[in-house]
Amino acid sequence: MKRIGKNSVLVLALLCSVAVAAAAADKPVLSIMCFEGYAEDSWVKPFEQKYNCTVKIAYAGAVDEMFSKVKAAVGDYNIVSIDPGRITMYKSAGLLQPVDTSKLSNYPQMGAFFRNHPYNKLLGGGGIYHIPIVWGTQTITVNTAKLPAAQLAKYVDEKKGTISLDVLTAPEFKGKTAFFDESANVCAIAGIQIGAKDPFHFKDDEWQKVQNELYAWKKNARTFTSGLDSEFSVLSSEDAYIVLGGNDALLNLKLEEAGIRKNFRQFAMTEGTICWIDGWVITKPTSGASLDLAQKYIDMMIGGEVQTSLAKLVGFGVVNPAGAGGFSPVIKDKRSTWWYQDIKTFPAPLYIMVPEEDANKRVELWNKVKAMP
Amino acid sequence: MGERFSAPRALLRGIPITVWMLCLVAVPLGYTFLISFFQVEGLQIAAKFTLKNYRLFFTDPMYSGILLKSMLLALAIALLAILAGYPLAYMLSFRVRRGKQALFMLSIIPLWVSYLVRIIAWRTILGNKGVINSALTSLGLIQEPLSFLLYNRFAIAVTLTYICIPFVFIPVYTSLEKIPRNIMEASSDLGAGELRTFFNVVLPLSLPGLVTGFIFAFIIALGDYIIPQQLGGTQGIMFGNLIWSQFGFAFNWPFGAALSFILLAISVTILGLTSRFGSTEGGFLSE
Repeated sequence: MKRIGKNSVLVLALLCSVAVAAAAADKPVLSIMCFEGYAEDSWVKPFEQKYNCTVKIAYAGAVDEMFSKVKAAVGDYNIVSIDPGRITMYKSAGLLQPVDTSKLSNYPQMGAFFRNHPYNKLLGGGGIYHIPIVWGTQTITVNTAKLPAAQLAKYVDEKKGTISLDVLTAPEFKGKTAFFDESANVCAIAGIQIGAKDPFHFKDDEWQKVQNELYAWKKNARTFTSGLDSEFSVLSSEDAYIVLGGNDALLNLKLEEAGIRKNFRQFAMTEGTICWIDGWVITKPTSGASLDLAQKYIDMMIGGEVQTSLAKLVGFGVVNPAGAGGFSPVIKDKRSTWWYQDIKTFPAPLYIMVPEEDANKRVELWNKVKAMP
Repeated sequence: MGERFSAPRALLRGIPITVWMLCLVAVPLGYTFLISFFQVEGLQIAAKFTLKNYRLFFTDPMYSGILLKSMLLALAIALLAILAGYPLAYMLSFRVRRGKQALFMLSIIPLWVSYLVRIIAWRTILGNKGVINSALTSLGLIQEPLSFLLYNRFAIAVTLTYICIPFVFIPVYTSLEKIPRNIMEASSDLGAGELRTFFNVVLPLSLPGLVTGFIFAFIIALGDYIIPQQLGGTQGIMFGNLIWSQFGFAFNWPFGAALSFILLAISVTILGLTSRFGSTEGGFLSE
């Protein structure tokens, strides 16, 4: 009898688990491929509850890794977080479908800059493929405790709160500067410095000028940086006092955490800078319930609540002004990246990143600069 | 002693290692070699045979220049690692009587620490606010930090030498331990001094371990790209960084594969040229 009871319990448990598994299998699934920070529990869990669905999340650490994974498993991921610079790569591989913005109730609340900017049309046409969620820039961080205002005055426009890119080649700062080791962006910013109209599509005569400019930067620099930790390390250890980098908001939060932010100030470049916009794309085979969930998830991400969370979490610019309330005082500070509260207030020309004319050629150019003595 | 296994059984025993080698070595390498003859069309790898990846390497002096620079730096690092690792192994093998095992473990402790942590540690030691500069400043020996310590080839050489020392130490120590002590006593009995015994007995017998250590250090240094990137500053480009850039930002895997195979060919050639020194016991090349 006892034995039968035990067996009955086992059978019942088995049936229950099968039933639970079957119920879970019935749930619609949304599969996401993204960078860390874009699928947090704080909004994913409520989303799953609200729509009685399962959200599967896969992360990638780099753009090329993400592309390889999506391409290798067509249909496995419904939405992917990418920047406009990579859209043609996905499009030419036949991986994308346009997003029906009429299904996004929060779309009209998105800043006009993002809705009206022609960057979506520059991505090969055929509709809107990319729904932005956050944006960021490349800026210059200066150790103002080591370099007093008088020394910087020549390069700083106090009215705008910007600094000239000439600071990277200033002889008085030789061995005190650093900039990032990444061919595409570094070429684009050097392009802005030489006056190229389109820093993502150089004309024939501009390549050599960009190379010369980068070489001048390199000759004056102490080192290159390779991401947030590297930028933080170079600045906090005072190995360089002027750093051109691409992680300004997170860098501010890190400097604040280390208790040394008062020694630093961030500047946009007077000549202008490039602007990345991370957003969602929907993959081509996605349809039915998954497509419906994909649209709902994207809609939630551009809504005020999640935009506020993103502002709090990553500190980069939000695309819906309703999210600006999430920024910490660190970001709002005038010595910091205050412009992330509203893209309209950015104090210099912004060049939205689009696919460059020839990524390979930029790598080759940058390698040549690095190989020069 | 007769054969322990019959031919079919021996064949069966060889299957796992053959499968392992095929799946984890031959197939990935073969595939990489294959795509080195392909080309990229609009960020896609097109399976169209071409020699242009190899041609580019041989016609653009930038690539051969960086390769040569990397080989010279790797050679210097391997020699420095031998200069640091050999005396350590010698002392431990011949001079230490008690606690040998503990000292051996202490010598290879760096291998237990994460590679990145070791790089960060050296940045902390060599940086402007690092251990060396702070000590010299507090002693009043310098007013401004010594900037030549970090972000140049010196920093790459120091850090990679440190990384390579255990890889030299282990095979050298193994070969020294295998030297019969009575040979050294015989040398002494025949009137040879310590120095003569070292050069005529110890060094030749430890040569296989030395060569193995040299090969390890040279190949590790030649292929590394993280230390040059992290600590090399504006002088930090090495051949490994060129390969990495092709697989990363350039999305040009075929060219990256071609550069990888050129590096592999050089490594195999060096291995082949030096393997004849490793034909006695002590080295990983031993029979």
